[in-house]
Amino acid sequence: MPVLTPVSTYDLLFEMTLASAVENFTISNIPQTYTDLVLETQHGFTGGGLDAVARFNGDTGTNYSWQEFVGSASAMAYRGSNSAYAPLDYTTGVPTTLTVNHTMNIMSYSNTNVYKTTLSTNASASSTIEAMTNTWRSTAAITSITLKVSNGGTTFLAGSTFRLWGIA
Amino acid sequence: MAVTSIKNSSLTGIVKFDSVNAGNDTSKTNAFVLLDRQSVGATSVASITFSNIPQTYKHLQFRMVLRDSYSGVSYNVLDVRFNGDSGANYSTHTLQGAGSSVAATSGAVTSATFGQAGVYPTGAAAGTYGASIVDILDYSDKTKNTTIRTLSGWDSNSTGMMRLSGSAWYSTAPVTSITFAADVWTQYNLTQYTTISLYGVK
Repeated sequence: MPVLTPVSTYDLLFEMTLASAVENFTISNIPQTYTDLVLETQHGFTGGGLDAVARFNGDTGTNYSWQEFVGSASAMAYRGSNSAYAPLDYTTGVPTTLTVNHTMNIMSYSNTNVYKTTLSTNASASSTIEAMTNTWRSTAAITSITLKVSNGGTTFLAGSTFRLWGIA
Repeated sequence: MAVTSIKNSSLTGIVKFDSVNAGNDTSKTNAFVLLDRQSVGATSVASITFSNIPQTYKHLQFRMVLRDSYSGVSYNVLDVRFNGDSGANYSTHTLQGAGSSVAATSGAVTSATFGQAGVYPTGAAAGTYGASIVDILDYSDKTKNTTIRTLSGWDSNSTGMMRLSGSAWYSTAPVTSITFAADVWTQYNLTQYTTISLYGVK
C-alpha cells in the first residue's frame, strides 16, 4: 500500500518571456519544499553564441561535468567534459530564431546528501537533437539558477520563454 | 443589491488581490500525483517494491537517484520486475553512450527474467548518484503488454554514461506491483540516499 497521502504536484514556480534580449538572468529564492525541479525553455540567440548554460547558487568554479548524445545532420556522437557551467544545449549552429526547445530535470535538488544530477533533452530545429546529463559536484541545496549564454556578447532572443516547475 | 465601492470604505482589514484566485491555491487538477516514495536509510537494501499500485491513473512515472554497494569503479544497471514475475518474460533495447562511443544493445524477446530501468555509477566519489526517469504508459490496460521507457545517466567528474532504453514485460495483466533491484537481481544492495518516487499521471 502506498505510504503517502497522494499529493497533486507539478507546480509552476517561475515563468518569464523576455521583452528584450538579455545575456543572463537569475531565478532566486527557489522553494525547498519540492523533490525535483523541471526547467523548460524555448529560446534562441541573437548570434554568435554556442550554448545556453546554467549555474547553480552562483557557483562559477569548475564544479560541473556533463555527458551527452548528440545527433546533427547525419551523424550521431557522444561526448562529455568538465566545465564551469551545466550546458542546456551544445548546438553546432546558431539558432537566431526561437527554435531551441529544452527540458532539464534537476533531480533531488534540495537533498543535501547528494551531488546534483540533471537529465535533459534538447531539440534545436536548425542544428541538433540531444540527451544530456549534468552533475554539479556540490551537496548544497539549489536555491538559485542563473541562465546565460556561454559566449559573451551574445544574448537570448526577445520572446524566449523560461519556466521552472517543482515536483513534490 | 447596489454595488458598493470599497475604495473609500470604512471597513477595516480589507485584503485586495491582483488575481481572481483571491489568494486561493490555483486549481489542483490531480493530473500528476505523488503516490509513494521510498528512500534507503543507513542500512542498504536488496530491493525496493511498490505494491498495491492504484489502478485509477493512465500512466506511471518513476523519478529516482541511485547508487549501490559495489565498490569497483564502474557502473551498474537497475533491474525491474512487475507483479513479482521472475519468469523469462522481459526484453530490453538500449542506446548507450560512454567516453566517445555510442552503442546499441538488444535482448531477444522473452529472454530475460527482468527489465532494466536505468544506469548509475559504482565506486564513485561520495555524493555521486545516477538519475533515472521511467515512464510506464497504460500500465492498467488489460489489452496491452507493459512497456517502459527510461532516460538515465550519470557523470563522475567527466567519466560517465547516458542511456535511453525500452523494456517490455510480456503480460497483459495490469501492473499492481513493481520491484527494483541492482543488477544482477540483488547481486548488490541499493545504498543510503537512493530514493525512488512513484507518480500517477491522469
